[in-house]
Amino acid sequence: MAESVVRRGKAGLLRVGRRRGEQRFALALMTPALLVTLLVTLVPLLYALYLSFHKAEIVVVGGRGGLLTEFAGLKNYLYFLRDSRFWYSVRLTSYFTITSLLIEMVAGIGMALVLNEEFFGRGIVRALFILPWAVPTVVNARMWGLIFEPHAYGALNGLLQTLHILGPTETLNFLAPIPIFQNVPLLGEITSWLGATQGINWLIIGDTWKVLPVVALLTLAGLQTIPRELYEAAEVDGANAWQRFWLITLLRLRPVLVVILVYRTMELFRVFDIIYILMAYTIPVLAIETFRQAFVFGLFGKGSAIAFLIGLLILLVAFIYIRLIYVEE
Amino acid sequence: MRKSTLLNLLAVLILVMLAACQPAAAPTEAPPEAGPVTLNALYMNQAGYSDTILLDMADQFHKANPDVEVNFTFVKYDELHDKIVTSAAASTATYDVILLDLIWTAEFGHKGYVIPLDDKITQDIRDDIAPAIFDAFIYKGKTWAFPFLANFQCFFYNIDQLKQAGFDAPPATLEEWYDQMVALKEQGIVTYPYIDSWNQKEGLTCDYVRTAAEFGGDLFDADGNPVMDQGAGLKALQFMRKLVDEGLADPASMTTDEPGAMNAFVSGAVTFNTNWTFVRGNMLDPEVSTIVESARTGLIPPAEGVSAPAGSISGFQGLAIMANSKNQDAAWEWIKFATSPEVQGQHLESEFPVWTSVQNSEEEKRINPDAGFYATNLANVRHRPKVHNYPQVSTIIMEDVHRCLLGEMSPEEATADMVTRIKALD
Amino acid sequence: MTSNIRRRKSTRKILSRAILYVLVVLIMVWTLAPFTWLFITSISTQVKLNRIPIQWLPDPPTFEHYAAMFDPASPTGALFLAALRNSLVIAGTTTILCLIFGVLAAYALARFVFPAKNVLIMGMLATRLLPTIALVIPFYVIIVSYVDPIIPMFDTRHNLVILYMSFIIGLVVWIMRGYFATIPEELEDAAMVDGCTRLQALTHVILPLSVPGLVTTGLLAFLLAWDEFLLALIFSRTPNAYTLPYFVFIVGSSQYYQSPAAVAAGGFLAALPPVLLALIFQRRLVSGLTAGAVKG
Repeated sequence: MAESVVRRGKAGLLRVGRRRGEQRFALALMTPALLVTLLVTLVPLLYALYLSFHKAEIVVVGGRGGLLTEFAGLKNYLYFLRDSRFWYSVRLTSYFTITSLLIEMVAGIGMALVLNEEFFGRGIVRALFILPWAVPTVVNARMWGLIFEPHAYGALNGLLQTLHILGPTETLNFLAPIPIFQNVPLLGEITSWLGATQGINWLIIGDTWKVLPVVALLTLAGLQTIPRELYEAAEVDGANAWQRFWLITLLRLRPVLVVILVYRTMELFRVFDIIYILMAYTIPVLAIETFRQAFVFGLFGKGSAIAFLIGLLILLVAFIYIRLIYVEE
Repeated sequence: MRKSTLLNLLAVLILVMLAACQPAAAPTEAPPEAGPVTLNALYMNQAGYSDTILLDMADQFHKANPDVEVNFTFVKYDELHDKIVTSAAASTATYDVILLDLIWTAEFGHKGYVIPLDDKITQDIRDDIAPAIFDAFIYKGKTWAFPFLANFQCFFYNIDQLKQAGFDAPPATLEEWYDQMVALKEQGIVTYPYIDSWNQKEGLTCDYVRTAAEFGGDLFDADGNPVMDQGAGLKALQFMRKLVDEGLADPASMTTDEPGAMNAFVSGAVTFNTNWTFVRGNMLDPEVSTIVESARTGLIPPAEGVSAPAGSISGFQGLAIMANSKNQDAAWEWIKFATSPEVQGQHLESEFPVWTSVQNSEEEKRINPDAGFYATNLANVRHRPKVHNYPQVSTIIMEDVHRCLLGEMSPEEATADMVTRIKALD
Repeated sequence: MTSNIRRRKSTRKILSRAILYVLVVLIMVWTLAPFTWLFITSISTQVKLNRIPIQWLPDPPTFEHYAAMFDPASPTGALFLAALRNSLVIAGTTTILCLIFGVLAAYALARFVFPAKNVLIMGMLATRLLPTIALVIPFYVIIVSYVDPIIPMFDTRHNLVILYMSFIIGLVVWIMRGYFATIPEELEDAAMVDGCTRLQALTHVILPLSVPGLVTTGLLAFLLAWDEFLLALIFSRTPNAYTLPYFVFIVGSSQYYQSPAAVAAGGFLAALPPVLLALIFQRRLVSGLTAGAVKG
């Protein structure tokens, strides 16, 4: 008894000491990480801000490269805010994000529910399940490029032909940038406006394949924390399967789902790899448009402006989400 | 104190890590002409003058010039422009010699990325290369690259499928071509008689210019103003759209690139393909093609009333020296060697030479029985506009043409939009 | 009566079990089929791939594309081997450096109270939120115009290491901080009472206990670095700095010839290390991701 009191007492004293002298120690520990973050994130951000107010091109004079700048005020920002193509990119990126999220969450939760059940071989299934996530984005892109090949020797077309869903001379052009339901009167205009093309929809499938394991496995971890007794008690009380799912499962899963939502939204909004590799500049999501302004046209001022606009959009979404999380706590 | 030792340890660790992963510095910065020189050449993987041939040339060059070694980086065409642009400004030149597509002549000349070569080119060199070819690399009176590869489009067709439809010869005019396609489709010999690379990339601009060439005109006038909303430009887009609307052009064309179009052709799925000269080698190669016996080369048919015997598009490539290269003299030696008539004469089976004398040689006629078709197509090429903001201009063209072919705009709307947007560029 | 009910209940049970297994099979097919197709394509010959109608199994299978990858004499092989080496070095170095710096920072954030702590945590998290493309432009301009003339940076491996650290270190800090928070402070207190300094407490007591967390975080960092494409696209020019994602982007696809088999072989090889790591350490990775998600 006495011993533990002493210990606690000593620990209490130590804790007080911590707050004064060792604050410096804490900061020293953090210095390298802070340095890296500051140097490699904050400084470039500020520089991008500077560039965005100029017309900036890279020229080579006398064998040395240099930046040719000309002050342009808000011209670059106004150029995009007034450009219907920029807003199309915003809508397109939003469509991509929201549609992907819907599919990922629904399929992910569904798969988690299945994987949560007991069945023969569950261990192996769960182990293999993570495979798509480990495939690098570039490999994923090229793989789906092969599968979506618009001729009969492409995997998906071949499969559909083998299953006699398609006739022997019919093929589907999956990655066509044609709005779906193009010929339906009202719907066609909506999909055109949103950028909901056939191509981007199939790309969403390809991207979802890679990402589902994360969503499903995180959800599964959440599911495993829900005690069976809750379900049994609810069943006794007369709740049917749907009510059990809605009131118990989803409610308990909410924290995990919010985290998944935040994380995936950030990733989806800045999608680049799969679209650049398979569709080049045909599907102008925001990241692609930025890349094109800066590195194809060589207009670094404009590229920085649009990059900042994207950054602001993402931070806005992030703030909204973070508010949601902290409200939980 | 413990704190400072920790930090010292960290500092040492960082230095060790950085040292461990720092590679040998990029190109050797030896002072020029003193000691061995390594040239870095950026090149694209292609069928004509393939990587094996380039490496072979480099070997020969090294034997003749033991002080100089040529190192290649091979990339895709789509990568070439951006790679050059992003390394042009680096203080250590990543490349000394680059492959320059003629459409970049104005941009690179204007921004100073490459050096002019006029003082190195003699008059008798200029005499042996067709002006149309040399012209492609001249901007504001200076020559920015030396012609290396005279790439252009040809007409490829499947004679067996034509015969099945009741025709025994390829079309002589665009209108005849249209009729043949209609017949092939009606008789069910193929689902789609024609495929082209109309995905939204530079190839689409090329194909649009080529179709305008078939109608005997250009997209820009002599002063560099966009005029595609009239004359050949408008007719060309109307024709392309017609082929799509009537199911004569494979809808997959919208997402197909040049190799993809070739694959469809050599698998026998389509009867016609207009494409760069690389298709010929592949269509006759039994390891790749299923139509070796029936594949033929021909002239790209002009429209009725056009005086030219064919209409094609230039895809010329030149070799240029980067302005930030420290080995410019050695680079010129390599360029002179690689583009020389002797070296090009050794590889006639792989590419059409740029030298008029070699084009007309007996050897060329022997190796390539289609040399006649090649020469005619080449003589009737049209160029894409030579402006220093070409990437932006081309983007506008590809976007609007693509949207028109997808049915989102009529040809009249699309061409008018192109003109407006191009004029609005600063 | 009761036997009827029992029979109905058991048929319903059999039906639901059957549906469950069907779903499991569907999930497995969905998960494995695309990657299997990739492998099949990689062992096929080019003519087979152009056949209409589609031929599912290669006949005969060939490993020539894989052989080409490992042959330093062929251009593809030389490129692949250089890209492999670079990816290993870059991802490995990034992981080690991020672990070291990140663990120190995470420990500080977990154990100490000091001003602006929440701001710093949010700041580190925010680095993971910024789109890479927003940073690539200023990176490029700064490196080419200012840094490169003094210290050669463009087209080097250390350049990529530094850039990768920018977005990976935040993740390391985030996960390890949550991890450290679960380790009771009494352990360090006990160690310090016994005469250790703070630092010794960290290295001798906390770190050994954190090995599972470190392994997981290290794996995640490695996978992230291995995967990165955009920065490699802009900043690598020669085999000095090409990474595997860049290699997979350009392989088998020249201006004039597409070789799906080479693409598939290159892709398969590039995916093999992360896939194997993920399959072997699958439990660790999931618990790490979960810890990051739940604790954060």
